[in-house]
Amino acid sequence: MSRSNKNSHADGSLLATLGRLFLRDCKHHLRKQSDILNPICFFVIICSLFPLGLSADRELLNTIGGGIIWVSVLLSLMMGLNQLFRDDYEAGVLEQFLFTHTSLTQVVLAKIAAYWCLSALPMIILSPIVGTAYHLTGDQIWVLVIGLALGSPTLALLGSIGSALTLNLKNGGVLLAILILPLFAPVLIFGAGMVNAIHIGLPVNAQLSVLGALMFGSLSLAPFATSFALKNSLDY
Amino acid sequence: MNVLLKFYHRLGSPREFYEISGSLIPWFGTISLILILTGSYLGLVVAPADYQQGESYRIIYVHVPSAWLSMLIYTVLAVSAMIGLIWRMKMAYVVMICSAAPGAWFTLVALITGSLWGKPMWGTWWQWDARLTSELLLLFLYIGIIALYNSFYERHLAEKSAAILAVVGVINLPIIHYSVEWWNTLHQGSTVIRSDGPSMDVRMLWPLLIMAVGFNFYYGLILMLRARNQVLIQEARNSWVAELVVNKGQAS
Repeated sequence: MSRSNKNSHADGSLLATLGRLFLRDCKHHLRKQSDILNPICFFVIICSLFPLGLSADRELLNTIGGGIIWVSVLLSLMMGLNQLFRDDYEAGVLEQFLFTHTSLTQVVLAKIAAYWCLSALPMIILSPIVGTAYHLTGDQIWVLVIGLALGSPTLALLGSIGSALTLNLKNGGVLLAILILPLFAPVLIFGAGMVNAIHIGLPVNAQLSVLGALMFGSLSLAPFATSFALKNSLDY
Repeated sequence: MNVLLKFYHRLGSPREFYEISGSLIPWFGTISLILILTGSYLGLVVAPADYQQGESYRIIYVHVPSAWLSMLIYTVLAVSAMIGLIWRMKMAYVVMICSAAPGAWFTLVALITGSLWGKPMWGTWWQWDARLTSELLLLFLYIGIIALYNSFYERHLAEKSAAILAVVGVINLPIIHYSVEWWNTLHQGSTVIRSDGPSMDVRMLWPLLIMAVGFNFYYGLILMLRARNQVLIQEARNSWVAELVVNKGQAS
């Protein structure tokens, strides 16, 4: 792998290739802004709908705020995941990658990284604002932000598997939700659980460790599963 | 060993599988029928009533075997998915996809009987208890596999996609299970669920085990019946299927 890479690119180290792929995807996303902005708007809108449906009670909002923000992030990220490989697939770029010396796993990893930076990161940045609207305390907001930062890569990585599996299906969107939302349950439990635990004065080290473990576990396994699923979807 | 290996290879061929399963089906049917009838009689009539729960505990004889089976079937499904992905064995995918629907049904039966049992015992149809919740998530995983398989037009894509999902699911299942357990113990200080009551009386335990084995044979029966249909559909273009159909037609 590395040898063939050296032959094809003058400066073709693994990281350099990853970096180039990452920048390419970022540019692509930034040119098609609706892909990035829609899920973020969706996130803010669902978060502001819940109080309308429940009540504006301070105590209640404080109790449920963490969970609601987490679920909203889950759903919004999933909306964008549907598009993760689709544009490249429809343009035929994905198939071209199969014929280059770049491994598909690398392409997948770069795509997920770019997606995370442009989709999950803005939501993480917005989450303190939304959290304030839910009357979360300072500690809770900190824990929320750290939890999202640790948990959302796992969501993107697991979601990429579902996205690859449903790539060439016309109505992949709803199916994607059925496939991956059950897999998101552990991240949600630990992430949202932390926000409530800190409020009643419990330590959150255990949850942080588990979220970190889940992130590294999925980081080391999911890209391979995704590229395998992509090859299957491309019938390669 | 050689005999076993040969048997394994024979099962790998759809035609051989069709013949072998044809001769096994009456056995599985009879054994499961006898065991389930015996277990029901022993469980519903012979076994004594529970000193805490009275007669209503007897739903255990359907509930627990279904719950055990729902987990066993997912294991079968995931193992056959892996065999399919690694050795590209046709029959492994057949076993995988034919296990999905029975697995989902047994999960649903476990949930429904559990809910029926929960109403008189805990005073509620549904409790966000760790076991109930992870069983519910298991049902969603089954539904995902079935939905993914059915959404493809080309079968070879459907099989492989569903297999990948099954393997991803089986890696996640323990994580889901333990996270749900952890979540539940954190949130519920006082719970309505009774702490482990009396350890089971032998007269209660035996019917349960008999029912569990009977349910396993029943699953084997259903699996074979479904797999035989699937094999016939998949191999419809092969001559042996045509001969089979012609011979059946002449016989009747």
